[in-house]
Amino acid sequence: MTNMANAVWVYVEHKSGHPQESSIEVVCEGRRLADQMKAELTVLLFGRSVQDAAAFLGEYGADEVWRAESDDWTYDQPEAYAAVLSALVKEHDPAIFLFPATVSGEDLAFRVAARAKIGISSRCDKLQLGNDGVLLQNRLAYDNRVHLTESFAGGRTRMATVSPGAMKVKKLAQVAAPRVVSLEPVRYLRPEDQRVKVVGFIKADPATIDIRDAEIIVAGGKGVGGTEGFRAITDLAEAVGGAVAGSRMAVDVGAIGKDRQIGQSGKSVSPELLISCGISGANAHTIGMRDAKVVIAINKDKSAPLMKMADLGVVGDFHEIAPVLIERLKELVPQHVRVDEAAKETLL
Amino acid sequence: MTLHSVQPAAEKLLGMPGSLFGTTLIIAGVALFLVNLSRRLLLLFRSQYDPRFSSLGKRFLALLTDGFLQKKLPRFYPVAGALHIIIFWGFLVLVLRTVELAGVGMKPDFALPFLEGGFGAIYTLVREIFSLLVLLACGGAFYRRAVVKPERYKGSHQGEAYLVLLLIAFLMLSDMTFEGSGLVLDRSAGTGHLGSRAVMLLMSGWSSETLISIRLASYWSHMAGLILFLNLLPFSKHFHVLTALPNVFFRKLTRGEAKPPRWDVPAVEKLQTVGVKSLNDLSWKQILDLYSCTECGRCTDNCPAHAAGRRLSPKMVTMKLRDYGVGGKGGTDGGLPVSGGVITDEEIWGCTTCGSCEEQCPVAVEHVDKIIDMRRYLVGMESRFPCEIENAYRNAEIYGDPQGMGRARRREWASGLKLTELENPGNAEILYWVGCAGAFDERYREVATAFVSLLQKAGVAFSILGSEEGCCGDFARRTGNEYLFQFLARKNIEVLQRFNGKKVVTTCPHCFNALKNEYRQLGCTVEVNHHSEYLLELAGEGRLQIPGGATFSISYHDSCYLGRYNGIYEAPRNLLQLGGAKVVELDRNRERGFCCGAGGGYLWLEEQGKRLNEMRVDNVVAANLEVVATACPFCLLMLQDGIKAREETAGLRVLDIAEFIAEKGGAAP
Repeated sequence: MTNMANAVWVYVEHKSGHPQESSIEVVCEGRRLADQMKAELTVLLFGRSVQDAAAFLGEYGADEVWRAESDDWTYDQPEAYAAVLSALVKEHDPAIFLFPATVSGEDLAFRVAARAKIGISSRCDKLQLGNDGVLLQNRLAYDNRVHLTESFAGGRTRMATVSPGAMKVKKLAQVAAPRVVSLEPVRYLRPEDQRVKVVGFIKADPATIDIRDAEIIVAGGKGVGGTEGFRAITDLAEAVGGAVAGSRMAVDVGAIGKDRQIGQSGKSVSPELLISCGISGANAHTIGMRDAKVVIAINKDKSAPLMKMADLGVVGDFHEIAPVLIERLKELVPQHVRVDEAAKETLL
Repeated sequence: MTLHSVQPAAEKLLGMPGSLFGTTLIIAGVALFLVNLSRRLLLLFRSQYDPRFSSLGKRFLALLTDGFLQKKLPRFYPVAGALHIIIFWGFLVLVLRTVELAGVGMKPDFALPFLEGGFGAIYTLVREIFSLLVLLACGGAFYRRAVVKPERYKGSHQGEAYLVLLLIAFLMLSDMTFEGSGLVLDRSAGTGHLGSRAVMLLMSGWSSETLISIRLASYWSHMAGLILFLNLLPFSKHFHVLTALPNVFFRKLTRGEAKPPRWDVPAVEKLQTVGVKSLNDLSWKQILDLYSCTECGRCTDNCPAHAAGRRLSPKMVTMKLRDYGVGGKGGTDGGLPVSGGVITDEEIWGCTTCGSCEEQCPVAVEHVDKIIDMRRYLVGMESRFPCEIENAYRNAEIYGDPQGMGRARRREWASGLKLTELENPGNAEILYWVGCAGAFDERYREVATAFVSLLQKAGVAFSILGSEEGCCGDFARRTGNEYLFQFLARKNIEVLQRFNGKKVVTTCPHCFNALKNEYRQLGCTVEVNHHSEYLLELAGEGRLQIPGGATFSISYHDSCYLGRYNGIYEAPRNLLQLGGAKVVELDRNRERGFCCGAGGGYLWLEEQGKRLNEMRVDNVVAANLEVVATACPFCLLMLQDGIKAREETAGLRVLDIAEFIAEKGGAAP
C-alpha cells in the first residue's frame, strides 16, 4: 500500500462485478481531483466476484483497487461495509472520500460518515479545490432552489456523495493496470456490526406498489363505473403488469383507495406508460399525471381534455375495448411475473 | 311625576337613611362594575395596533343604520330581530328613567329638570309603552329559547341568557310596581299608563302600609337588579350592551381586504413571529369583537363549513377565544396557544373564507381575519397545514402559479387567437388580467376566450401580460402563507406599476379582490374592474351590442368574493338580463349566497365531510333549469365538478356570464 496521506478514495458500486455508470462517473471525478492534488486514486470495491472490475476501473484512472470480498456478501451489506469502511478511513486518513449519490451509495456513505465522525455533503454536482487546497463541495438545496458551496473545517478527510449524471466520464489515453490490494474484512468486523443481513430482494407487486413508483399505471375515472366497472381496470393492469390508480371520482365511488388517487389532492405520478380510461381530465387530475412519459387515453368523448394530452387517444366505450385489449395483451405478453413467483425472483 | 308619593330616599332602611343606603349601593355597584370593566379593558389595551378611524362619515352612518336602527337584525330572522329591536330601543328609552330612579334613591325630591312638564308627560307615556313592550319581548324571547329552541343557540351560554331575560323582565315589572303603587298612594299624581295603570287597578283599595312596603320593596329590588345587571355585563355575552355599538362603528369597511399580520409592520419578513399565538397578538378590534359577540349564532347558521358537517362554528371560535381571555389565562404567553390549542386545527382549516358569517353578524364581528391570523401562525411558525396544499405553495413560489405550469406557458391559451394587440401593453386601453385559471385550466380557457371575443367585438384595445403575470396570491394569503402572498404580490406590483393608471379587468373575483383591495397594503393602488362590471359598462356605452334574442330562464350562482366581499350582486344579473335571460334566483342568493367550496385555498385542499359544491348543486338542481351562470372560475369549476358527480344532471350546463353573452350573439356570427 502506498502512502495514504494525500489519497483520493472512491467507493464503487457494481452489479456482479460490473461497476455502475454512476460509480464510474465518480471515479473519473476522483481522478481529476487526484491529478490536481498530485495524489493517488484508490477505488474500493466490496462484495462478491469483483476481480474483473479492477482492470476495467484502471481505464478510468484508478491507481489502486482495494477489494474486500466475502462469501456472505451475495448482496450488499450496508452495516458490515460501513464498519469496514469507517475503520479503513480512521486507519488511513484519506484526503477525500467520494460515493455515488444512489440510494444504496448514500445509505452507505452516511453510515460511514457517522461512524467516522466526518462531515459529508450529499448530492454534490460540482467539486473544486480552492486556492488553499480546501475542497469546495457544491450542491443544490431547498428543493433545488439554492446552490450551496460547502467546505468543512477540522479533521482531514472530506466526504461527499456525487449526483449521478453530474460528472463527465473520461477514459484515460494511457492505461496502467491498477495495483490490486485484497483486504481481509474479517479483521474489521465485530459481531455487532452484522445485526442486519440482506438476504434477498423481492420485486414489488405492481398491484400493491406505491403508484408514484409504478412504471406502468392503468387509471380509471367516472366513465369506468363503480367498483364493478373497475374490475376491468384491474384485469387490464394485470395484463400489462401495471398498477391500478384513478381519479378522485374513482375514490368517491369506492373503487380505489385514497392512496391510489392521481391528482391535486392525490398523488403525482410519472410512469413510463399511463393508460387512462374514462377520465375526462379536469385540471385537478391532470396536475398529477402530466409527467407520465407515454399516455394512452380511452374515452367516449373525443373532446375530453385528457384526449388532447394523450399520445394515443382511443374514442370508444372502455368496457367494449377492455376485453379485446386484455385478450390481445395476454397473447403478446404471455408470461407475466406474478406475485408469488416474484417473491423468489431477485433484482440485481 | 309621582315623586311626591312615598320617597325611598326619605325612608329609613336597615336603620340608616334611605338616601345614604341608596348612595352607598349605587356608588359601590358602579365601582365594582368599573373594576371588572377595567380588567376586561386590560386585554384590549395589550392588543395590537389597528387603524379604524378612516371614513368617519361612513362609520357614523353604519352606527346609525346597523347600530341604532338595527338594520341587520330582522333581515333573515324577523321574529328574533323584532324582539331584539324592541328590547334595544326600550333600553335606549329607559336610560333616562334609570338615571331618574338612581337619583330618587340618593336624594329626596329628586327630579330631572327636563322631565318636568310637557316633555316629561310624553316621556312617561313612551317609556310606559316600551316597558310593556320590553316585558312582552322578554316573554317572547324566553319562549323562543325554551320552546322553539333554534339550532343556532347550541353551545351558547343558555343559563346566562335566561337569567338576563328574567332580570330584564323583573326590572320592567318592579318599575311598574314602583310607579303603580305610588300612584295609588297619591292619586293626584296621575292615572298611569299601561303597566303602572294595571298595577294601580290591581292594588286599588289595598292598605297604605302594604302599598308603602310594596313601593319601597319594588324600588330597592329594582335598584339591586339594576346593579346586578350592570355587574353581570363584563362577565357575560351581555357585555355587547356596551361594546356592540363601538364595534359597529369601528367595523372593517372593505370586507375583501384581509388584515395584514400586523398593521404597523407591512413587510412580513420583518416580523419575528407571524400570526396569532396568544390573545395579545390579536388587534384591539379583534378583542372588541370577542366582547361584542352576542352568541346569537347567525354566523354558524349561515356557515357553509358548518352546514357540511365540519368542526368549524364561527360562533364557537369567538366564544372560545373570549372565554379563554376572560378566564384570565389568555393574555399570557405561557398558556395554551390560541392557534391549534384553544381553537383546533380542524376548526382553523375548515373555513372557506366566504364571509357569510361576517355578512350575518349584527354587531360586525370579523371572523375571517382571525381564522387567517391563526392559519398564519400554524403555517408560518409551526409549518402545520394540510399536506395537500404543499405542492400548490411550492408551484406558486417557483413557477408563479399553483398548478406549476410555469410563466412561459401563460400565453399558450391565446396562441390560437392571433391577437396582435396582446403584444403591446403600452398602447392598450385596458389590461386583461387573465389569472391562473384563464391561463391554464382547460375549461376556463374557454371563458377567457369568450371574454376576449367580446372585447374584440366591442373594439377594445386590450393587452394581456403573458409571462409577466403571476398568481395573485389570494390562495396563499387565505391559507395563512403571508410570505408567499407578499412574494407573489410584490412581483405583480412591479409589473402593474409599469402600466400605472391603466385600468385592469379580471374575470376572476379572487384576482379582482387581491388587486383591488389587498395590493394597496403593499403600496399599489390600481383601478380594477371585474368583467361583469366592465362588460356592462361597454354595453351601456353602446360599444358592445348584445342582441337579446328569445328570453329563457337561467339561474345565477353568486361568487363570495364578488358579492359579499365587493358588493357586486347586480352587475352580473343585469348583464345576463341584457343577454335575454330571465334570472331565476337560487335558494340562498346574494348576501346569503352559498359558497361553492373553493375559497380560502380550498381549491387546493381536500374537503372533510360533505362537499360544498355538491350541496350547492342541490340548489341548482332544484331550480330545474338548463343553465346556471357564474362569474368566477372557482365557482364554475366546482359546480361543474358537482354536477358531474350526479346522474340526474345530464344537460345541465355551467356557463360564465361572458360565455353566455358571447353565445347569445355577442361574438358568434
